[in-house]
Amino acid sequence: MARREKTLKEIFTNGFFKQNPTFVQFLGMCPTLAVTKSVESALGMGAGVIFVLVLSNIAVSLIRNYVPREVRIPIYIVIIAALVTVLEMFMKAFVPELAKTLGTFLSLIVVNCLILGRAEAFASKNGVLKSALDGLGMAIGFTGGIVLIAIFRELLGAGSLTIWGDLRVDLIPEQYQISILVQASGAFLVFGVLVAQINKLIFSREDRNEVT
Amino acid sequence: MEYIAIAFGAIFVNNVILNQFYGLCPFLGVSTKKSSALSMGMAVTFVITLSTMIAFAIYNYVLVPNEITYLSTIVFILVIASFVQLVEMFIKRFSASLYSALGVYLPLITTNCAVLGVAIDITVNSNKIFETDTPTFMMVTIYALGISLGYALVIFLFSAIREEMDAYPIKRNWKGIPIALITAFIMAMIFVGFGGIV
Repeated sequence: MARREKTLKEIFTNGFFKQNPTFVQFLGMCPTLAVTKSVESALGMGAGVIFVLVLSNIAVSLIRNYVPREVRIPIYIVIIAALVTVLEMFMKAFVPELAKTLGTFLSLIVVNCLILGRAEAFASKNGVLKSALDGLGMAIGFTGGIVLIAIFRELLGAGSLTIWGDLRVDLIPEQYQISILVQASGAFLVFGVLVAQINKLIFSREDRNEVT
Repeated sequence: MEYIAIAFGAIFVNNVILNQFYGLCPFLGVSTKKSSALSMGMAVTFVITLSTMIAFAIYNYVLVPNEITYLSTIVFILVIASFVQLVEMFIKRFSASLYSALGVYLPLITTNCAVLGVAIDITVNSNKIFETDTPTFMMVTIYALGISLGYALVIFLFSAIREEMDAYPIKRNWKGIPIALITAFIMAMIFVGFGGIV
């Protein structure tokens, strides 16, 4: 390849903005819309994805030279499913309230395309350290994306911001809240508007680069 | 009467895409053309209905008696993946025309979270849907059929809207996914209205 090797820092920060899983790559959209009713559940989902993605990237990268190409996808899925089961048991034991809010979407991390996508596109071709950094960066980018959506939905829809349990602030009085945003349909609206605004930023930056 | 209520609720009120947010990636990815949306809807209907029946049987006759329900996530994803593979081989062997219509979409279905989501909902979280911890096989089958028909219906309607929308000029930053999400928002609001009927 003519392109130079990416540095570790570039691999780590790739998922933050340039290849953000939520707003640029549109990976794992089901949890993006389903768990963003409150900041608390978005943070919980983000923590779960960080745990699973980092460990699955490490595991996939460790076995990448021993797995036959034809059966790699089923093997990755089993690894990811095992990690998700561990996560489910942890969450049910230590944070049962959060596990209840996330519900089925906790188990559905298995089929989150972000995790299988990174295993296939990055971890199966790179070393352990690089894969772990890539997983961490992507998962943080994902968490940032869903927390951003959750902030808009919770603040405008329910007038509050909940970080964890009782750690919440009420900012907007009830008569000014837009309650449709915390209902199911509002998720589509908030996500769509945010994507359009972020696209606008990306396009205007591209145009500026072309001129100079 | 009870079955009709379950089916109606599954198709319209608790619509998988617009209300429960399952299977959004194929919903936005495949719904640009009516023909491909129809094929995807058919493939999903077939796989969800049958794999839910299998998952229900495995959960109640293997996992629960042996007290290993914590393994349900792994077991279900393996069952679904191998079932999809089996269906693909079967269709390839017996119907070339059906294979050319559905073939491309079948591998995608394994990672469609609607399949795993419905399987988990009817077993582990069954009291949320059926208001009983032990739903019968018939109830589960009708629910799964309703859910998948709801999926097919919404993805087809959505693709028809998107095809029409292509003819109109849309600002560059709204093109593609953002305008599709706004369309989905309007459809979701319409489907909320069905909640009043039940």
